[in-house]
Amino acid sequence: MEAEPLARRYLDLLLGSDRHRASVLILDAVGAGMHVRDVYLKVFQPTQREVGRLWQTNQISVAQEHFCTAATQLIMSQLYPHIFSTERNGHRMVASGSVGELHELGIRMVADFFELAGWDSCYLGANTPAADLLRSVADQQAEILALSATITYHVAALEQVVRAVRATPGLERVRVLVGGNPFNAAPELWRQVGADGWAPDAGSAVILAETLV
Amino acid sequence: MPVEATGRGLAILCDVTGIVRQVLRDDLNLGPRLAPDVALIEIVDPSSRGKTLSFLAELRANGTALDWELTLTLDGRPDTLHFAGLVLGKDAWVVGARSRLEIPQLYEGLIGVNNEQANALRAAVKKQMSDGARRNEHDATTFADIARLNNELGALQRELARKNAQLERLVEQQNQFIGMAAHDLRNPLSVIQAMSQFLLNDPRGAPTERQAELLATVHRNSEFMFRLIEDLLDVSKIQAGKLELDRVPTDLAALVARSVALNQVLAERKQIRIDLVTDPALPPVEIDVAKLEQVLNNLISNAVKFSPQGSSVEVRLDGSGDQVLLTVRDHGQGIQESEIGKLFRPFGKTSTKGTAGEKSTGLGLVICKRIVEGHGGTIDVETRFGEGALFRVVLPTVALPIVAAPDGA
Repeated sequence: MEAEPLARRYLDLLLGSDRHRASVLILDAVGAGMHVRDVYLKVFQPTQREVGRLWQTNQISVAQEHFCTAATQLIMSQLYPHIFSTERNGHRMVASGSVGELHELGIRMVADFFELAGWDSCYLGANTPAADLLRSVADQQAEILALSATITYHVAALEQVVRAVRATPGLERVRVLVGGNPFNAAPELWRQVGADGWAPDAGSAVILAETLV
Repeated sequence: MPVEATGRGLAILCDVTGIVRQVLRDDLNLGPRLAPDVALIEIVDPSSRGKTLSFLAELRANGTALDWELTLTLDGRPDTLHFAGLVLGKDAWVVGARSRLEIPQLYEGLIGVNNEQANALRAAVKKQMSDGARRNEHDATTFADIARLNNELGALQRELARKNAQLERLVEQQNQFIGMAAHDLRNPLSVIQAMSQFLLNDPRGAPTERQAELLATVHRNSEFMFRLIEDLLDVSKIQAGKLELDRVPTDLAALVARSVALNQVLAERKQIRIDLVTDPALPPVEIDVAKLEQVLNNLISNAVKFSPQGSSVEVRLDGSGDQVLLTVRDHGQGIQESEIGKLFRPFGKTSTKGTAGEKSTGLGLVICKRIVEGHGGTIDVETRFGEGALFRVVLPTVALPIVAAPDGA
């Protein structure tokens, strides 16, 4: 099936609470040769955007919105055998959403894209306290730290994390990448928070990272 | 005088831009957050601000906006309330309740006996109820909590998958190392074997009796090491489940007969007889010939090894429909019950000894198990100490679909 009708069918199944069929739909597509990257970019990402739009225009309930997100998260995890089986390129990164963020799918996709490109990617949930985040970056010897914020409200917390990274001895070589709606809307915001770069999506994040290491 | 409402929530009078003019009810204890001149978009969570503006826009455009879910922080946690708005005159009456059902109740309480307004509201709510059939009712469950829990589980799952992949890579590396080491050991070993054999049979000068004894020991041990290395190579190849089977339609009866005939030669030295009974109506099978030969050889030679002089080994081959059954029975010592668990494990040697002093590498049955299971079959043993052993192999006749290893492409 082509990507667009696949995405539409996927969304319909999720809105009908049919997680099982939605999962089978995706796994079959991958089995038939669709690359995981395309599933992420052409199915999951547009679906999440549409779910967000339906919620904002009051066409779906909060229950449906959460269900769709949770279902996609689960189906993403079913694709892990494909994501974690690529050759290592020796680079390491850590990815995390901002404290208080409920919407983690975007930054998780970024981590998975890095993994697909051969990076060792450690993903930390949004509830990770800043101290633990820094410790992970040190332990993993990460070269890249990717942070995301989906609403402007969380950018302040993100900025704190960037400052903490700069102030921690041993993490001088870590490059910080940021992303999310506030950064898309204000193209120079990444500079203001002290980051080393900004990317609009998962694919470009990997490319940017490779220029920085 | 307003009728006492049974609904609980908040109720305000505001202008059409959402600035509060009057607080009519505050059952949710918002206190100073809900006060005149405060804007509705300030009261909701930042994530719902955009949606609140849309709510106000619809309210202005249609005169009503019903059942909009907006998120507020209540008691320190994000919670979702159902909001509704109704424009009457120049004011908007906005209510927020935990459930959809409480909305009309709140309104009835506020508006009280004004029939015209109550009727307008009832009509609007009734229409919305029938439109909103797709959405499910929800209670005060905080979806945010569930979402967070789910996120944490998801992160844990990802880390687990990552660690598993790392582990698999390590095991693969280890296997390769074993394979390489075994390979490199083989050559020098075969030299030792050959040289010692040569010295024993040197046409230009036979060794003394003492020398012959020593050479025989050298030869015997190098032979054992050679077999061990062969087995190690086998195991490392199939250890990680990467068994490659070349399955072809095979005459299994002929294969078994051949293996029996080969082992009969060795069995004769111990005056052991190998009896073979084959089902004439054996269904055709698809198997890897070389690998099954290995299994057959292993089981039958084991049976001979552990049988006393003058006894017999029975090999049976039966089958029907979709599977075949191979059994190899010996009347040797059998295996202690406590040691049966060791049988199919690497280097799991039991205390039962070969009756002519033969030594085991401890890898034979592991290899058999991997090969049999790779074919989709099963292997087990029935034994009692002092009464011999019966090894049973069940194989499906048709090759079961092989699950291909997933790759990124």
